[in-house]
Amino acid sequence: MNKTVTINISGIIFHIEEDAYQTLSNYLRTIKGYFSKTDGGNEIMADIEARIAELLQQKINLNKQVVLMPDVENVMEIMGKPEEFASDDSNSQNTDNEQQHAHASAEKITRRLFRNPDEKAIGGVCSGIAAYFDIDTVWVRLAMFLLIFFGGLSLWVYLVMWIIIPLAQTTADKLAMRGEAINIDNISKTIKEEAEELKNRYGKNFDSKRFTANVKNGASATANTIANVIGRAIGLFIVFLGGTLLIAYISSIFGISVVNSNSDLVHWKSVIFDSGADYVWAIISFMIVFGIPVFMLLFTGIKLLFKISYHNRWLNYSLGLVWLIGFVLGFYVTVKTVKQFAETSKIKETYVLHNMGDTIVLKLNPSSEILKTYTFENTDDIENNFQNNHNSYFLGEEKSSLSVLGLASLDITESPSDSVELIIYNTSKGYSKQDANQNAKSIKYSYKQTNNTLIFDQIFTVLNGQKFRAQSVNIKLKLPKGKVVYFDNSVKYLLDDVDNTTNTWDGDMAGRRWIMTDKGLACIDCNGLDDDSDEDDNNKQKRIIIQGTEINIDENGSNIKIDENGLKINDKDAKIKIDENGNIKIKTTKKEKAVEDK
Amino acid sequence: MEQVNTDNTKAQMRKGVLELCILSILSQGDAYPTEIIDKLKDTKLVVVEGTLYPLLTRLKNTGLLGYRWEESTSGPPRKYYKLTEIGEQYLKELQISWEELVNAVNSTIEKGKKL
Repeated sequence: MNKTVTINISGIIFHIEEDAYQTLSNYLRTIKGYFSKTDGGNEIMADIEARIAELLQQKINLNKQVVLMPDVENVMEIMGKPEEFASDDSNSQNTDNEQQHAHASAEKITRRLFRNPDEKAIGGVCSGIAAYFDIDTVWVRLAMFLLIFFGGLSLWVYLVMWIIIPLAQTTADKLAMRGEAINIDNISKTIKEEAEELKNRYGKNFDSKRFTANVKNGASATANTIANVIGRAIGLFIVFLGGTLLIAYISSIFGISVVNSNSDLVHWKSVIFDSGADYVWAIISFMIVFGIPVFMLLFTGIKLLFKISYHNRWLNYSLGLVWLIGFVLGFYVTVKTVKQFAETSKIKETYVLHNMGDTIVLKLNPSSEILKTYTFENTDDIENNFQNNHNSYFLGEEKSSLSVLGLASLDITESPSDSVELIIYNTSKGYSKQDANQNAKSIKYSYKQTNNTLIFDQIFTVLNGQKFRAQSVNIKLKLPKGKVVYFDNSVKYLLDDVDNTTNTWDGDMAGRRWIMTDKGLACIDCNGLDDDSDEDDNNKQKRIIIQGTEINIDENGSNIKIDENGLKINDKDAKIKIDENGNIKIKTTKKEKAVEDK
Repeated sequence: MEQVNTDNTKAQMRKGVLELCILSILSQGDAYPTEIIDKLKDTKLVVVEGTLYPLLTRLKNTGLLGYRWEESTSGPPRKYYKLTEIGEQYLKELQISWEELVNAVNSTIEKGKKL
């Protein structure tokens, strides 16, 4: 007992045994493959199917209603091998050069990418590619292996190819995989005998009319080849792009950012996200929202490169849906996290300082003491950062729990009263006023006063276990008029855009004494310093413009001109002219007359 | 290379003759592929039937042949091919050059044999 399948060939219904069906179906598919690129390929297919139907019909009768394997084999024998008759015709269409070309392009077109089941280590992808490019499998495997070290690129590429490249199942597939089916040697073998018979009767090609048609065919084949090459080039580019993005993507997920080894998102997660779950969601949504497009890009590129027509609507829809879910998730986590920063709270503490004397000295408490209690991922970077900007934060580890550290900033303004006031603002964000307030209270910052010296900490810390909520510490020192302040050199990293009469940069204010005046801080011992504001004024007053042979001095409206006519100097007080003959004319407001008289 | 070229020539010869034969068969009356094949089989020009279909389609597409559908009692509808006017003219030209060729080739071969 055998299972049968019902098939419809050319409108006639046949019952056919399953194995016979498989054979016939493969046969037809192979023929179709050969004619898919030929003009009128569908028509040829229909004709062939009609003939097969006719032949099969002769095989069945009332007593034998099922098509069996021998029947199919017989039909195939009558019709011939697909590579025989298909290539035979394309052979006849072309002459000489034309023909070589047709073979070259036919070979390219029929060569298809399959996974090779006969020579596989994992999924037969490498050997399939090797067969496709007609190179040794060893090289492809070696390349795959080496590419693993580029962020695991080949692992992903391999996985994608494993999924989308079909396995070579039939002999026809395997022939197409190696591109063996259509070549002149194969054809010549099959037709040799008949050709022998004709050899003595016939001399040369016999029609010239057909040549024009051949040229047309050749042209369209060339156009096809060009389109092919362009398609593949685009595919290759997309694969390259996708691969690069994939590397960036993978390395960012694992926190091994190629560019900056200090981006330790893994550490920050516990102080930024509200809960551990939020972090997990954020990572998942990141993986989905960026991963899926990267995957699709790679997928499309490989499809283009190897001319694989794989279209799976289900895959597209589900990937689209997953992406949407990932996006919504990411949106949710982002909104939730941003909300943690919605409200601001500022706690102001005012200290009135006494017994300061006339000159106040400002110093920085060496941060090393605070830093000693913490351990850092990268101490060098942190010390470097301490000297550069005010708005940076660090994570320090103390007794295996993380704390946020930040840099304080100092500004100096005029005091409305006669006393020296020190105001410290502790600012923080939070999801509510109350929360923000709580967070602001968790800031630890201190300064010391000894006699006339104020010693500030550079670093403020946030209480252990407290989240990062953009905490900041701003110190405002209010000086009454006439007070002098001396910035110790160490304090320059604390100063934040301190206003002064000369617009001097914070870094240059250190190591000098400044006095509080009506207009702000003025420098007492700034001699020799390149003063920003001074420079501006000088430029305005002494602007000298040189235009060709003319020199203009703005302030006085003076002008000096040297050309082939000699030298001319014009000024509102004096005019001097030396002409080409050596005559000198001088006019001044004082002696104008006298010169003219001469 | 030389070997490949002679093989090409053989294939070209056979194909050219096949085309001439098909056209000649159709000049005797319309026929559907199976009939053409049966006639060709006697001349041993066609070894496998599959060869014929692409050829017929190409001849039709170049305008040498036309076709009509006819119902069949014992199978799918049949495609009856017939010679068009261009086809007839083309056939006449082919016949003339064929005879010239046969004469020329025969006499050449005869001379070759005598030597």
